[in-house]
Amino acid sequence: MTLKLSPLNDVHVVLGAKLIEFSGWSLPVQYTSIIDEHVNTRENAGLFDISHMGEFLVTGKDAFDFLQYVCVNDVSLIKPGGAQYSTICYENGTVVDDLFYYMYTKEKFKIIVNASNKDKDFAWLKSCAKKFKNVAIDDQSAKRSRVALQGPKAQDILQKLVKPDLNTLKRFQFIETDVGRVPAFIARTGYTGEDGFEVSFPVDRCKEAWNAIMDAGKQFHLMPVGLGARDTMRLEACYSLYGDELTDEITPVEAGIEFIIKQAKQADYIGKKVLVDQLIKGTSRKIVALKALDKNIFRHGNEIFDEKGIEKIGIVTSGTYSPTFKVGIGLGFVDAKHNILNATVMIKVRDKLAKVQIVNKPFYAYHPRK
Amino acid sequence: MNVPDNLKYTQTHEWAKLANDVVVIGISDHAQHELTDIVHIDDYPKIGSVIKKGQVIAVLESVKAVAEVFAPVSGTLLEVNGKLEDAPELLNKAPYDAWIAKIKPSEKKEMTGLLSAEAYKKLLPE
Repeated sequence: MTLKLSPLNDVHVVLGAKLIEFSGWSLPVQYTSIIDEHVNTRENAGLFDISHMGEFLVTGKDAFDFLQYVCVNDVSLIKPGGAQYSTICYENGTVVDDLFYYMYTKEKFKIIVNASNKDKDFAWLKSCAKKFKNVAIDDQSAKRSRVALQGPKAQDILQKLVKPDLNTLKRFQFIETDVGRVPAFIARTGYTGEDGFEVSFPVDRCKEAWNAIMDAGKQFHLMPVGLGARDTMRLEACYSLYGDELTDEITPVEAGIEFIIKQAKQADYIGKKVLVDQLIKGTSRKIVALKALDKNIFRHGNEIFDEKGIEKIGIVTSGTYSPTFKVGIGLGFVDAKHNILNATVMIKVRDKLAKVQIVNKPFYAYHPRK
Repeated sequence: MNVPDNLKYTQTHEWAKLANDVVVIGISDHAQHELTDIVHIDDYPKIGSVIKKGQVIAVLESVKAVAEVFAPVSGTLLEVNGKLEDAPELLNKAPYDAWIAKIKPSEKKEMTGLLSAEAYKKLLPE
């Protein structure tokens, strides 16, 4: 299989990035050091290439009703100019994908989906749309490219390139304006736990925009950041990753992101019956936050045991070394009766048992702009 | 990638240097680059234990991965680099200074079977 190249590929090569395969794309895992890129994004700012993600446009008189029907979150809670995080689920409540949508009007939404699920999502949404008279879904992924500018200095950097006052752009809001001379879609969203923006451009202008942002960021210590730090940052913030915490065998309630399911949502939606039931009754397993009490680093697929190391009680969905806390952290499924805050559990790392604690989510709370 | 001419190498990306009857062992620049930031080193055999060529003499944990370090030669484990416990990042920053273990070789001819710098370079991607 030929890997897809980002429109920023030349830039990555010049920067000496270490490239890896990710969801069929060749993308930087790091430029210099995952830890340095992570720490610098927490302290200053980082620029991520997220061109691999999918971008759809949903239009038509039924666009709002259609999204209410396919998404578990309540679209009626956002206004034009607003964004919302949700999952789309199967009838049994398991997850097709997690995504962000952005409301222009009740008749026009942009959706950003995971690279690995883009084609599956498009087919799923198309099939669901058959129930509606007036809704069109356009896959704009090949025409659009994206970067994420994240960190406490993100606004200072972007403000140098845009006219509107970014103080008026709140979290989970978006605007369309030029970045330098490049027409852009700017959303105040992210996947790092920091303030910041996800910005989408026409694919042929993305490199120009990247370079403009890198130039504007020089005085603020902006660094390019690879997928390695993207993963460590999202794990510290306890954001789910499709394939690990979310799959077509896991519901959002089990995944611990039940905040997206609103009991007050009037509209019927796919998966509602199962999910509302799980919300009320709980589930037999749940994804919890795990923090190592020793120097071991647990990883995806490691088995979780009770404190005595005898009974298997779960499995790690994501694990890594936390550059902020300098210890192994992760997320994992634990059986309901063992899901006790601050309890000690054991995780089998290679042939050893690592001592790990169930802790509060997230490890790193979202940092708004000061 | 930096591949010093004065060292010997293995297919599994360790380097080895024989000096004063002792083989000093580390990992190559390519290995540290592939691993990404190394954050923990563990699982050394006991000092003084008899090591067979190919045996695991340390486990490296990086942010992204886990890797085993294999003994390039057989012999007796003399010493491990205690500095790496508190500063494993030295393996990334200076892979040819940050030695991992020292072995007193039982069969010195195993050294001649290792790869030259030139041969090792051919194993590496462009």
